[in-house]
Parts: sequence; C-alpha cells; structure tokens
Amino acid sequence: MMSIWRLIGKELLHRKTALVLGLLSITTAMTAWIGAVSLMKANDLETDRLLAERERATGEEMQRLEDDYRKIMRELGYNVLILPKGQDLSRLRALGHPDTTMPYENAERLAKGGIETLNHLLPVLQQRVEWPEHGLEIILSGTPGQIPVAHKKKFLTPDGSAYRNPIMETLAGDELILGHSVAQTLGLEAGDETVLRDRAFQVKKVNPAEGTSDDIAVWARLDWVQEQLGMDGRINLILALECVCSAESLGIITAEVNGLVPDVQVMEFSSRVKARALARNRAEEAHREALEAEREHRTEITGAQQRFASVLSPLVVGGAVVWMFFLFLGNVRERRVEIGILRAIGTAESTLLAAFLLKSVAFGLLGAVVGFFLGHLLAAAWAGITLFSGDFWALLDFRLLAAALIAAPALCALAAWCAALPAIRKDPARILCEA
Amino acid sequence: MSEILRIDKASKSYVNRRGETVQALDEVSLSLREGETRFVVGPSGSGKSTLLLCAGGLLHPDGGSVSLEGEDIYALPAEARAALRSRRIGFVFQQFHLIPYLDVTDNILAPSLAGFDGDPRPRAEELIDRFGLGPRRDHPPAELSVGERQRVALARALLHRPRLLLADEPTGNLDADNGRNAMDCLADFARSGGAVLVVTHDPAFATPEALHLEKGRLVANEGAAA
Repeated sequence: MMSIWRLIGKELLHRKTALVLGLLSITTAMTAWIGAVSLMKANDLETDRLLAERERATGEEMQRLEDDYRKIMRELGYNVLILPKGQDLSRLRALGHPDTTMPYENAERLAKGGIETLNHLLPVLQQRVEWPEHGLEIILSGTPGQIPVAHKKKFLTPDGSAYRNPIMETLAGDELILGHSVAQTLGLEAGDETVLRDRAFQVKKVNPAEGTSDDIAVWARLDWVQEQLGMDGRINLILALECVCSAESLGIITAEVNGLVPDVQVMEFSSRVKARALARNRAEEAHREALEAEREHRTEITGAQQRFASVLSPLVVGGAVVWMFFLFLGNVRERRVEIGILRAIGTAESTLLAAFLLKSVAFGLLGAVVGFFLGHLLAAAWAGITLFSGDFWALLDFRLLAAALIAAPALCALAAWCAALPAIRKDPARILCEA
Repeated sequence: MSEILRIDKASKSYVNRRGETVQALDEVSLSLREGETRFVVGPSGSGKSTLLLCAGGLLHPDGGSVSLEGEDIYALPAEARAALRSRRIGFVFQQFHLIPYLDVTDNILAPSLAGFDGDPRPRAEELIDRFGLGPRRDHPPAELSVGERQRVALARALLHRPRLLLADEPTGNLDADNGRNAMDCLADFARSGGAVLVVTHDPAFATPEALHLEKGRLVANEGAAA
C-alpha cells in the first residue's frame, strides 16, 4: 500500500532544494534561539566561575591579612587590659600600675570559660616598690606566664600546656626580666647575675625602651612577688591580646569578659592595632565591593544579552516561520495539480493535510536537533568554552532540546497548515479544470 | 445488465471572468449499464469536462442528480464521496496527471493512499503486467513515453477495480497506435463488467451512438434515460 511516509519521502528526495532550504531555515532559527539562550547560560557560568575565583582570591587575601594582623598584634604585644572593677583609671595612669587587686582565679576563669575574643591571657601583680639593694624605685611585676586558653588549640603546644609563640616567656623562679630604664641604670644585661630582696636572680632579658612605666618594671615569678608583697592569691591586672578584628570590638570583649568574670573592667590600649584592624576591614570591604561591582557588571552584560536575545530570537524565529510559510506555499503551488488529482482519486483532505504536516514536523524535529547542537557549539565557541570540557557539558541543557523539539515542529506545522489548508480545501474539479 | 451510472437532468452554470453566467450543463440525462461504453462528443466549451466531473462526484451540479449504482453521490458527505470515488470510480485524464516524483509502481499505487482492502501490490503488479509496463516500473513519469504515461494513468484508474471509468480525451495526446491501445483497454474494462464514459472532441468517435453535447445540452441522446 502506498503510505503517507513513502509519499513524503519520495517528495522530499524529488525536491531537494526545497528540502535543503526548509531545513536550513528551521535549523537557522533553532540555532539562533538555542545559541542565544546557551550564550546567556555560558555567560552565567563564566560569571559564576569568575566570581568564585575572585571570592577564593579574596578569601586567600583575607586569610593573609588575618595572619598578618595576628602576627602584628603579637609583635606589638598585649592590647587589652583587664582591671579590677573598682580601679581608678586616673590613679592607674599616675602610678603606672593598678592599686587594687582581684583574685588570681579571675584569669583562670577566663581561660577555662572558653573566651573567644581574647587570647594570650597574662595575669599580673604589680606594685611600685624600692629595689633595696640599689635604692631604685621599680614596678615589681609578677606573672606566672601566659595561661593557655584551652580551646584555642592551634596556638598551643601539642600537649596544650603552653603557647607555641608566647608574647611573654614564662620565667623560672630565679629569672628576671628588666625594663629598659632599670637595666640601663643598673648596667645590667641579659645573662647578668643580680640580687633582689636578698634573692639571687639571673637577668633573662631586657625589654626595649617603651617610654612608659614598663621601662621601670622588673618581672619575676608571680608566686614570689605575691609573697614579697604579702598578696597571696591576688593579681591586679590581666593582659590579653584581642582576637576580634573589629574596630568596635571593645564592647564585644567587655560583654564576653563580664559574662565570665563580672567584677572587672576592660580597656583597649593599642590604637595602632585598631587602625590595622580598621584597615583590614576596609580592605575586606573593598574586596567585597569589587566583587559586587563585578557581579553587577556581569549582571548588566547578561541583561544586555537577554534584551538583545529577546529581540533577536523572536525576529529570527518569526522570520524563519514566515520563510517556512512561503516555502510551503511554493511547495503547495507546485503540487497543486497533484493535490487535485489525489483528491479526485479519493484521497481524503485529512490524509493530504497530514502529508504536509508530517513533512513539516519532520523538518521541525530535524531542525530542532541540529539547531540544538549547532547553537550549543556556537555558544560554547563564542564564550570561549573548550569543547567537551566540564563547562561544555554544563552548558548542555536538555530542557532546551525538549523545548526545541516541541517549538520547532509546532512552528513548522503552523506554517505548513496555513499554506496547505486552502489548497487542499480547494475544489479538486476546479484545480483539474484549471490544469 | 444493472445500471451503474445515472445522470438525471443535471445542470451546472458558471459565472465567467466577465461576470456572465455560462450554462455548462443544461438538464443533461444519461445512464450507463454494466459493460457499456459511452462517448460524449462535442466542441471545446460544450460542457464535456463539466459532465465528466459531475459524473465523477467532483462537481456538484446546480440541479438534477447523479447516482452510482443507485446511490445519489451528491447526497453523501464530502469525505464519503471521496471514499466512493477512490473505490468505485476511475479517472483517466487527458494530461494523465501522474505524480512526478513517484515511479510507475507508486503512481499506480497512489489511489491506495485512500485505503485498500488487503495488499494493493499484487493488483498493481497485475496491472503493470497487463499494460506492459514491467520494464518501466521503476521509472518516474518524466522518463516515460506519452503512451506509457497513458497506460500508467489507466492502470492507476483501475487499481481499485472501479465500476465506472471516466475518461477525458483519453486519446488526445496519443498517436494512432497508442490511441487504439488506450481504447482497447477501455473496451476490455467494459467487457469485464464495468461502465465507461468517454468525453472527447475527436470526430473519429462521433458515431451515431455517441452523445453529442452542444452548449451544455445533449442534442442526440439516444441512450439518455427516460
């Protein structure tokens, strides 16, 4: 039996130019459409990749700044001072040390309480006294060394008992650290032997000149100083290093410290560090702004492409449909007598219409598949995506293929239907009379 | 012999390009029985082709009726009439109107697009053999001689074993030998129990038995229905 497919196949092979033109037309339309959509997707992928790269670079830069900041902070020394709540700050300035005390347990409570905003806690007991052997006024300072904040393991030795890089080294019972002015007055240097309050000591280190009351400080073990001053179990300040890299950190630190130890006050005393923190925040902000600007720029480009595609794609697709309509119209006119004779010998209108529609659907399906892959390839080439790379496959959107497989045959069928229906409906007798 | 075609007072008029009404058929009546061949002769414009189209269910007459084996074909809906044409009426046109991209076999099989009881290929092969088209079966019409094209057109008309064969100037484009062959084929068909209506302006067929059509009227209609 003569089948409709055989009729279509033979007709397509007979009119090769029309076949090529028809396929070219619908393929061009689908290529333009798929290409435009794929190009936008490629742009999105490129934006994501670029932003991810920038974010990674920003992250690395922030990490570097963080490390720099931490090192600088450590090099600059302690920048937070925790004092007994009742300490008069004007007296602190006048004396060069606090004149009220608090229990040593305050320092331990902070270290064990899991404090986040401070590190390198150093309990200190200070009092202005005379170095009787030399008749020299000094600030006798006792410290047990830094108390490890237990949960900050990355700063601690493997057994967690000490800091890997302490700001102040722990003193042995017979060691002293001298302020610059004291050492200069007494002509002492690191390694020298000396006697303080009838006890022999070795000078472990001489601090550099600070231009502050630290220059007349003499550091020894806390327990010995407590004994000398008759203040067992007491300290009068805790030095610490701030962890929060924010210019507005004091409020946060105070809140956290007071949450653990209520009867203390917190002071910050390193404007340089604050400036550094501020600079770091500014740098981070600048990075984020640059990132945001890039994102906006890419969004603008995508928007412009979308606007362009939203105009171009319908134009190309619409043009292709009109072109297809005229191609089908030409085909129908060429086959006018054939339509008449087939009608005359009894072929139903629906069969003839189906022949035209099925042919157009075949055009559409083929155009959709070829257009999908061609559009995808062109978009990838345009966007500089390497063939068969991860991005290339990520660009493939089979939902687009599905849409093309629906849209292209539908548009072709519409064009064919518009062109063929009047001819098929035409009275075959009239066609044959005119032939 | 049962009646196959009956045309009863069929009339058809057209409005020509100048806006004038032309009476192409004017109450034409005729009938055809099994085994009968009728020639309708007349000059160009006398209404011969109109009569043939009306008889074939392709052109609805303004008045009168056309029945095929007792069935009023214009009382049928268009699709049913198309089905009737495909199975019971065969057309042979002067221009042959073969489908250019189909070979001989497929052209003969073309009416089976409308449906066929069983496999039409043996029937097509039979017709190819009968009309001596075997060596040309794979050739498109463009590669056939005029006589071969006429035979393909005849074979196509006979695929469905119609009851009525309508031929419009079947010898008009043929030389004497091919014309004689074509007429022999039509006669064979009639002898096999069909009915043939041939319209022609060829004076060779203007026999006393022929129906003469002039300005849409039968002027000598010995075979006309009462």
